[in-house]
Order: sequence, then C-alpha cells, then structure tokens
Amino acid sequence: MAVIDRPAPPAPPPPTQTPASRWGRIRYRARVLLAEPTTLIGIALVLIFGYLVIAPLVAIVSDAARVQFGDDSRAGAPAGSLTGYYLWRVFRSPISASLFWEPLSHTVVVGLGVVVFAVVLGGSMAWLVTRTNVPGRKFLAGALVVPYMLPSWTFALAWLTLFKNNRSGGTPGFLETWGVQTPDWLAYGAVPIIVTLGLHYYPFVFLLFGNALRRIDSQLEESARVLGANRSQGMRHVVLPLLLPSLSSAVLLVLGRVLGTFGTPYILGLPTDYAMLSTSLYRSIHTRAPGVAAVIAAVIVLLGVLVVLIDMRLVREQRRFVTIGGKGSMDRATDLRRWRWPAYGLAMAVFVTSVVVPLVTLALSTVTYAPGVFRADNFTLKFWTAESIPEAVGFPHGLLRSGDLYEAMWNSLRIVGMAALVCGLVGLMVGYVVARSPSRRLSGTLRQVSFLPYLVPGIAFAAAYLTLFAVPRGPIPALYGTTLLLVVVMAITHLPYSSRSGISAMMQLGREPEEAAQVAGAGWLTRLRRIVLPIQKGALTTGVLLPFISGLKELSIVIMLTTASTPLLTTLSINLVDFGYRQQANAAVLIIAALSFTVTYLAQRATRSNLATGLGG
Amino acid sequence: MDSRRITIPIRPTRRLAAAAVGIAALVAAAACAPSSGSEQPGALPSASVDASFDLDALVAAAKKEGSVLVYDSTGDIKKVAEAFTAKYGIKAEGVKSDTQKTAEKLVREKEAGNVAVDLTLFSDGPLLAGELLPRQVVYTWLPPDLLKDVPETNRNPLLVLSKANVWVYNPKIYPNGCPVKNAWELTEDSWRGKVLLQDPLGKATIVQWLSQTAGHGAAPLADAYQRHTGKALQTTEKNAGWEWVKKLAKNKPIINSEDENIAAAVAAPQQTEGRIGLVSIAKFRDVEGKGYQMAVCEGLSPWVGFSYSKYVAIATGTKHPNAAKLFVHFVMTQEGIKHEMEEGGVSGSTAVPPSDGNPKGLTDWGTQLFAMDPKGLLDDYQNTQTVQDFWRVQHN
Repeated sequence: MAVIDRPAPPAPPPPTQTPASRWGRIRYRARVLLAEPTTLIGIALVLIFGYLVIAPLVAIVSDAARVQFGDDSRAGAPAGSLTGYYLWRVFRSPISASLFWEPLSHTVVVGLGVVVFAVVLGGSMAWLVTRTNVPGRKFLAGALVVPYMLPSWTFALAWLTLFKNNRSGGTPGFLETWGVQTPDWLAYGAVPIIVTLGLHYYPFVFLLFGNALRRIDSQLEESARVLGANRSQGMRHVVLPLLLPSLSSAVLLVLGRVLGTFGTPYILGLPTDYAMLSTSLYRSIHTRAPGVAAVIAAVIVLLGVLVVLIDMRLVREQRRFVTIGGKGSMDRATDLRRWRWPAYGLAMAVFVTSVVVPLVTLALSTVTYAPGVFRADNFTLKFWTAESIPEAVGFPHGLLRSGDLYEAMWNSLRIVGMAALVCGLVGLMVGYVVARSPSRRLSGTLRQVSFLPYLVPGIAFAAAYLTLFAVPRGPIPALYGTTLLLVVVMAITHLPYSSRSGISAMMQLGREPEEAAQVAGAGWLTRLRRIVLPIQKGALTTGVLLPFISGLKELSIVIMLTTASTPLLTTLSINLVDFGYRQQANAAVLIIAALSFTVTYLAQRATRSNLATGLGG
Repeated sequence: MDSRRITIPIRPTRRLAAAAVGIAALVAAAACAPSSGSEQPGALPSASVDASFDLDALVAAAKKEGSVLVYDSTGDIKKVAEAFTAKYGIKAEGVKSDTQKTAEKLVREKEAGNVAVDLTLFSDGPLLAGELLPRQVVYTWLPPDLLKDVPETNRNPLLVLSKANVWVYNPKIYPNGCPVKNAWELTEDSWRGKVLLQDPLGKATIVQWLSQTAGHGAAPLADAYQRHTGKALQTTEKNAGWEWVKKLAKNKPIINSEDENIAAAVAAPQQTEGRIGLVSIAKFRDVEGKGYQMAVCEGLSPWVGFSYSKYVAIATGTKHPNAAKLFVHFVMTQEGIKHEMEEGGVSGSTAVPPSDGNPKGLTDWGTQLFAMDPKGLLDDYQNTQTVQDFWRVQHN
C-alpha cells in the first residue's frame, strides 16, 4: 500500500546563487505551475463555481431575509426591506410545528432509513457482483442499475398498486383483493417512503461502492491473512477503510436526494399527512411563498453542508490510502461454494422487486384501457402502435408512430448528452484537485461547493439562472434562451454525481503512475490524457452516465430556461399526462428508461468498462 | 397602427393625460404598459384599450412581428396556437407550464428586461391581480370590437374562460343519485375520511376556493345549514364559511396530490366503497375509456362545485405587442377558445356558445356552481396564507 507524503513539493526551490532576473523567475514559476497545475485548475474551478453555484444560491437564500412582494402588511415592513418575519414564521410561529419541525423530524427518520436500506442493499449487491463468483454477474451488473433510470414516482405507483388500502379508495391494492387488510403505516407514510426511495437510490451505492471494491487489490486482503488476521479483521482493518471514501460519497448522494426529492414523499405521504422538508418546500414554492421557501431551502442546504462536513472528517485519514499504485495488483473472487445459488436467489429477488415490479406495473398501464383490470378485452397495443386513435384528439396515434417522439428523443439525447459530458469532465477535474491539491482549504471548498447544486430544488436554481443570464454581464453574454445555457445549467445541477464519483476515484489513484510519467518528461496534459483518463475511464463513465440518466428526467430547468419549447421526452410526457392520455404518457416514461439503459449499455461497451467486473470501473 | 389609449373605467379628467401617456408609450415603442395605472397602492391597474381599433391593421402589424409565444397551464394551448398560425400565418407557439413557473418566469424576464414570453393564459387569478398586474409584469388589453359581449365585471383582468371543479360520486354504488344533498353532510361523521380533495397547501385553485368560500360563501352556507338541521348555525368563527371550512378540515378528508387519483378513488371500476371527491370537469374526459363510474353530485346544496377563471394578460415588455394583442383577440372568439373547451367550460365572451363538453348534470353554471368573485381576487391574494394556516391548524 502506498502512503503519500503530503504536501509533496513539486520541484526544488528556484536556484538562488545566480541573480536571476525577475522575468526569469516568473517564467520558472509559470513552468512549475504548468507542470503541476492543480492549484491553478482549482482556483479556476472555484471562480467558475462561485459564479454558477454560489451566486444563484445567495440570491435564493437571501429571499429569506427580505420582505417579499405582497407580504408587507404581514411582515409590517415595505417589500424589499430586511425582516426576520420568515424566520419567525418557520421556526417559532403557531404553525411552525406543522410547517417545519414535524417535517424536519420526518426527514431525519426517512433520511436515516433510506441510507441504511440503500447501503445494505446496494453494498451487498455490489460485493456479490464484483467480488464473488455468483452466477449471472454480468446480467446483474447491468440490471441492478435500472431502478435509477425510472422516475421515482413509478416506485410509488407500484407500491400503491400492491399495498394501498381503502383509505384512499379507488382500485384496491393487490393485497387487499386477496383479503389482506393493509394497515395505514404500511400503505402510506414513513415505511413506504423509505422502501421506495431506498429501492430507487440504492444504485448509487451499488455503482460507487462496486467501483471501489473492484479497485481493491486482493493482495492486500491476502497479505493481512498471511500476517495472521482472520477474515473479519481483514475486512475491518483493510477493506472497509479503503472503501470508506466511496461509501461516504454514496451515502452523501442518497442523503442529498432524500433531502431534495419531493415527488415520492408527496404522493405516499399526503393520505396520512406525512410531510417532509421537501414537501413543505414544494408547497411553499407552489403557493408562491418565496420567503418561507427560502428559509426551508436554506435549512436543507445547511443540512447538506453538515453532511458534507461529516464526510470530510470521515475520509480525512483515509485519503492517504491509495489502491492504484505503480505496482501490479490482482483481484480474486471469493468462492461462495454452496452459497452460490442462494446468493443468486437473493440477487434475483432484489432484481425482481426493484426492476421487474415497477417496470411491469408501468408497462401494464400502457397496454390496458382501464388500469388494473385483467380481462382479455381490456388489453391493447394501440397506445404504442396504432396509426390512428380518433378519440385522443391531441395525440391521435400510437406513441411510436409520432414524429414528435423522435424529435423529442433526439433533443433529449443531444442536450442531456452534451451536459453529461461536460459534467463528467468537470467532475473528474474536481476529483483531481481535491485529491491532489496541497491546500486543504481549496479541496474542502471544492468538495462543498460542487455538492451544493444537488440540494436546491431545480426550479429555484433555474429561476436564479434566468436572472443571471438574461442580460450580458461583463464578459458573459446573455445566454437566456440558448441551448448552451441549458447545457451549462444541466451540467452544474448534476455536477454532484460526477464530482463525487471523480473524488472517490481520484482518492484511490496514487501519484506514482503520474510521477513516473513526469520523470519520463511528460507534460501535464499528456499525463492527463495518457495516464489519468485511461485509468479513470470507469469513473469518468460513471460520472457521465449518472448525470445523463438523471438529466433525461429533468423538467423544471427546461421549462424555465428555454424561451420557446424545445420538445424533450419529459415535456412530451408531461403534455400527454395533461391531456389525460395516461397510456401514452407512461409509454414515454418507458422510452426514457429504455434510452437511459441503451446509452448506459453502449457507453460501457464502447469504453470497454466491462459490465460484470466494472460497474463502470 | 394609429391608436390612442384610454383607461377603463373612463375618467373624463384623466382621459387627456392617459392619452398623452399612451402616445408617449407608443412612440417609445415600449409595448403598452399602463403607466398611469397606480392610482392607489394595491389597486389593480386599469386595463388598456385602443380607442380607434382596426383589426386589419392589427393583423398587418402582427404579421410584421412574425411570431408570438404564449404560456398556459394546459397542453390544449398547443392546439390553440396551431389554429392561430393556420388562420393568420403568424408563427405561434404554445407552451404548457404551471402557473407558478409561468409567474416566476414572467417576473424574472421583466426584471432582466429580456422578455421572451409574449402573453399568458393564467388561471391563478389572485396571483395575477395581487402581484403580476400591480407590479406591471403583465397588463390587460381589451379587444374593442369584442367588448360588447364581455360583461363589465370580467374585463379587468380579462376573463378568457371559466372552468369548474365539481363534487363527484359513483352511480354504481349509489344508483339513486348523489348520496349527499347538503354541503354540511360532508362535515359529518358518516363521511369522515371519505371525502377526497386536492392539497389546499399546494394547489392554488383549492386555496382560492376555500378563501372565497370563507368570504362570500358564508350566507348561502348559513342558509344550507338552516335547511339541513332546522336551526340556525351557532359558530365561534367569523361566519358560516369559516365554520364549514373548519369542519371540513376536521373531518379528516383524504388529501391527494392530483385529481386524477381522486377520480380513480371515487369511480374506478372495482370501487365498492362510497366516496365523494372534488375533481376538475376535465376528468370526465375519457371516463368511458377507463370504465369509470363517475357522475356530478347533482342536487348538492348550496353548490355542486365551484367555477374558477382563466385570464389573459400580455407581458409588459413584449417584443411582439401586436401579435400578442391579436392572440388575445383570437382566444376571445369561438374559433380560438373552442380548443380549450372540449371538456366543458364557459367563455368570457357571451358571443361564444356554451361548450357541449360539459359533464352530464352540470347544466347551469350560474346557479349550480359557486363562482369566484373577481372583485375578491386581491383579498384572496392577501388571504392565501391566512386560509392555509387555518387549514393546517384544523386539519392536523
């Protein structure tokens, strides 16, 4: 195991015996900087993020302290002046219990629940797929990522289809049809929210954790065993510490989503009044209470910062351990022996619950007239393929027959694809600087700042960007309405995925390979191109694919930042929902999932990050 | 276009000043912001009309501008835009976006001085009257040649279309008609946990309905109570309206995120339990296709539901003022608005015949539905938070 001595001076101090000219010294410094431009890139990134992340965030949060239009009489001050009214309303007023404190405690409960659920599920699956000889690894490695490609509400839908009781009426849940009376706590509220969000987000753990597991040199474990450690000691003292950065990253991503997602908690929580912070925020935004919304958003951001701080503390010691040194490494699968098939059964069970059930629920809804009625005359393929559906005036043909679909697919692919590429590269750069920079402050700042966009609701961010880019400011032209702005904003808001994957991957890559190249005379760009990028191909792929998958489902940003409608798959789907063409709308959702899956598959094939062993690694 | 602007209601002493301001505005080519509109703080700026109006000149001017972009909360706007393009040859684009996003976008564009959205069909009346119009983010323009068919009360803001939410029941379970005859029954034990509503804390139309019910809904509700119980209502709340809202909230109604789910809960083919739900009449679209058993709760006193309004307003900083005006003109005619009336609705213009898409049992909007009072829009804007807090406290 290589241990980095930090900070490592990149070069000896400039020679002082000969009186070098000032110019010469600057030139020398510049050359050193270019040979090891970590700091330079770091500063550039901080500047860019300062403009694209911090400025909009400040704009959003500052609404919390200013009297908003229409609130002047309540706040007792004219609009625009400073006020503590919103703080009072959220934290101390008679309704703050239902507006804030209760949702806060629910958020903590659900957050912890989802993290435990996702880590247990994703972690064990990642281990099975990367480190054991379980049958069907290749298949599972691809299939277990699918839950994240579906919109989270499909899980809520599937849950309700199975468990809903007569509280909300309508088509009874399957269990109820079989005579099982599901209690409210199973049908609505904390339990279903934890399970559905857990099923939706465990792929984060699966991907990042799997990526790290794959990297660990089995020789390390074996050395420990040779030195007399037993299996659990080897696990605790060797493997777990090496996995901590990626585990912590995955937990962060999951927690961030739990803090920010409102769809599932809203659908599953409403029937029993189970509100979370994200629900409160959503309601404030939707009934236009920007002051209160800003306070709640600020709390969510603070919680996020807190979690990142814990993460930084946890990995502070671990950052010294690298798993990719200059020496050879081996990876050896654990032989499960007689547990092979039971393990396979377990993995398939996870696959069925998290992939098959929601997909089938969704797919069935696209081929039936009335939902949940299983009679032969209720099935039809016409919503997919019919040449003409006269009763659907707004969309009078099957989805696959529509030119709109292909235009939307192309737009989605083009715009989201570009954003994801930008995002992946920037994320890797963030990882590079965080892992290499001698300045703890710089790396800490980048870690924090690159995670923030994740916590702010897309709609609030998008609105702030509109203000920022509607007019030219300094060297930055007015980008409002251009595809470029859409790409930039999508890249920024999905940055946390790629920066986390970049950070955890770069943490494991030692300096040795690069230093060897440097000795051989390679410049920084050459090193990046010939050494870092090839080694980090897997991490880069993950860092591109996660934003891509998530970006395909994006809606708010598109509506706020395009000036005319650029039809994307999500806007197509939402329009179909609005027309009441549920079947075609759900078919469009399936197309989004299929597109995600195809691109993921092709990208992994193209980068030769083998699905079975790689998980993008 | 040779036009002068006057203000409505017409104030003779102001006419000259208004005209001067109007001409100045035209000369500046800065759209037609009603810059004399701020008589008193919080008041609605007056609507603008062109004194001498010539439709052909407007069409010609609009054609020169070339295009128009309109935001609406329904996807039907795409069809309206297509029809507009087909009729005038002017590229029109309709975008579906919920009112809150549209408002945010309009305000930000106005502040930045880079206006892309030319006009909006906007169904959150309180937000329009309370914020967008007073802040001069948008303004109301009245098509003079159509005004004779637009009642005075519907001109500021300009009403395009009324839509309705109605109480529905399942006729398969209740073959003898709606099981509820009086709104107060919904607040009684027999309906505890069986009434379905959309989220009053997240859905603007529902908040507005509660706010107006607590306001001018009080007297009819007090009468209904008298009829239902035989004695006069005793309440510690301000009036019968607040009392009804309180009792409804306390009766544990099931709150749902979308009225699609409510329609399913009430009317799905396998449903065997009796439920009453409040849904948009648009949910009657495709009822047969889904096998739903859903009917309007005819005979419910004092109202079987409520109607709410969709208004039209032009962005103050629009780069296509004439095309936007022409679009307003278009949606005030049957040719334009019929695309949004397929599932029912009543046009703001009396010249447009009623839609044949109204659900069975909803025959007379005037008497059957609780109508939002357009004069109450500003109050609703101010009351939103009060009503929501009240609901929060009572429902928990």
